[in-house]
Amino acid sequence: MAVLLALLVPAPSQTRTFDLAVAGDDGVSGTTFVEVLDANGAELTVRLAAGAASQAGRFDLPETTETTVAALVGTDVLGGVTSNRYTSGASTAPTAATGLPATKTGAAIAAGNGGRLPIGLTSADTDAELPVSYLDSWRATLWYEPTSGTVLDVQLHFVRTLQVISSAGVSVSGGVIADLTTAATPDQLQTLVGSATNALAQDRVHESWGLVVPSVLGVAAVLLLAFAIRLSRRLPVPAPRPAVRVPEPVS
Amino acid sequence: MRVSERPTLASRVAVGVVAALLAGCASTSTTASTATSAGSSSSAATAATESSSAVSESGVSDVQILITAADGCTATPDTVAAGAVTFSVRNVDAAGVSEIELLSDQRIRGERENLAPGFEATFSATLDGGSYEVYCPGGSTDRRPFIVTGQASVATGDMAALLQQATVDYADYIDTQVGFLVEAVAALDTAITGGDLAVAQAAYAAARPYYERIEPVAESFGDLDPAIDLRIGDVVDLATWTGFHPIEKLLFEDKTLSGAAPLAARLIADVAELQKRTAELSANTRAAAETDRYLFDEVANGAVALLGEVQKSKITGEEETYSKIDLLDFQANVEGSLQAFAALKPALLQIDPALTTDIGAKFDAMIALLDTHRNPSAVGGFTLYDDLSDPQIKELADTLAIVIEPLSTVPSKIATA
Repeated sequence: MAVLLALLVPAPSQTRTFDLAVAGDDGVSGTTFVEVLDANGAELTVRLAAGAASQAGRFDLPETTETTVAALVGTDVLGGVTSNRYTSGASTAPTAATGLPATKTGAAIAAGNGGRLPIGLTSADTDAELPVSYLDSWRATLWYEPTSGTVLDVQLHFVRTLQVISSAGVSVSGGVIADLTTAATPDQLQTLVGSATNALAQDRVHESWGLVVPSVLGVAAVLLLAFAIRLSRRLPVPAPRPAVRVPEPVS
Repeated sequence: MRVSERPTLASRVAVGVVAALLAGCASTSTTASTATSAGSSSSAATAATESSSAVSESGVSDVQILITAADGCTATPDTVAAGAVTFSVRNVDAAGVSEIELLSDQRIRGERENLAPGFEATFSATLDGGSYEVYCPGGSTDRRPFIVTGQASVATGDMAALLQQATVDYADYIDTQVGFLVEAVAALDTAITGGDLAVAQAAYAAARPYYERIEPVAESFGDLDPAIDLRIGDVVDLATWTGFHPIEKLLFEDKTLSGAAPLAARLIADVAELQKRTAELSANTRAAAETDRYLFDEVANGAVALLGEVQKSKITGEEETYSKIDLLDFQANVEGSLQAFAALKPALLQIDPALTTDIGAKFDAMIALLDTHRNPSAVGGFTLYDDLSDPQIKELADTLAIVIEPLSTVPSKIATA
């Protein structure tokens, strides 16, 4: 009976991890680590860590080790497998970034903005060394096959915005200096879809066993019961014992 | 910009300037609106009256707006169907009113300025269904509802599309203001070469708001702002000082036109270059080009930067050292900031509705306070800076700070949307 229950009742959610090889625009390649902590249909609780870097070496995608809850926004079919699409996003506070300059001249900022100073800076800022920081924001889209519990793909959209303090002390957005999107490589996607397909096939086998075995056992139980009843009816009824008469006392 | 009601020399020359400006405003157009003006002849007014409440064969609704001292601004009809609408405006006798705006949720959808009593103008706009306001600052009743029936524009829920539309709306606003600026500096040049100091002074004041409304965009070009708007305190070499302020010094401190003509000619050239560059930015913005365009976080920057300009130089009276028309610049900076904010409003409402409502209300309070300082008899239409009391300056600074505080959070919210 324990086996029967195991087949009928879904397994409790378990932490599962996926290492995805990812590629994107601007020559980005690397891996994305996805840890699924919980899935309840409407929400997917995950932990992401992206280790992708651009070939130009301009930056690394930030590691996002905080647990994030992604919301269900729709369904898609990937490689023939229907999956739920979840999205999640977050931003960091403007911070200094390792390996990136802490100051820039207005002229350098203008050079990265089509030759024009960002609105909010003035000619007085052109030659000044202006403090800069970096505001990172990212949005993750995950495709998750709920039956097999497989993450099929993760698309990460990462934006890094330059924040500038002008000579007048005003914080100004210096524009987007990185806008990248990565997703699973086609090979990785094929592997994951194959994995999900296998898991679904196994699940169907389990499902089949889950139906057949109980049915067989049920029929057998019914037959046994019927046989038992029938058998019990055929057994000779024992003759009633003669009453024991107590001799009357002799008067 | 307004002129005196009294038949003084100043008022007559100011009216002359207005006439010159209006004559130069033959056809300014933007995506949203077009505007034309006429002189003080009554023929256009008669035509406007006859076409009042009519819908032309081309399907354009005609609306007449009369501005009177008794009633402020009144639109007839005050309800039209969605589509193209042409507004014929006539200032009958309201000396305190010099401009008219059609507003939709704080965004200017059409406007005309320099409407002295007796003058008339037209502007047109393509309007979606919804509630609008006819706004004539300084009027006895300065706001009246205007209803457009029919299909309202449907804001898409897609944030990227909302932000793209914000940049396009801001580009439209910049183009409109730069177009008016081109006409205004031409009128200033005409006034200077005409040889009348008072007319030239009025023309100077008439031109300033158009630049002040778009100043952060001009500043972003680096070389153009110093050429157009360098103040005496920032001048390294007086021999190379160009733009509005050396003209201001000649007109208001030296009280001479001598030497102003070459400066006006150079100003015309620099403003033409500004128009060329902003037109390129706007075209790229409308085409959703990848580069060399307005970015949505820049629009937010522009809103904040304009109020920063007020804090830095207008509230201290440093901008208009000689003419003292700092409150006119103050009002122009606030309007420019509000228009940048209004362009972002549909997107910002989705990001942070409470913040959006809060900022909108604080802008309204700022504008209401500025309106109390309107003075039709002063050059520029506002109380001159030197005539403001210390408590009045403090009140203006405090009200401004109340707007800046929440507004300064908008760029980061927009950037991470």
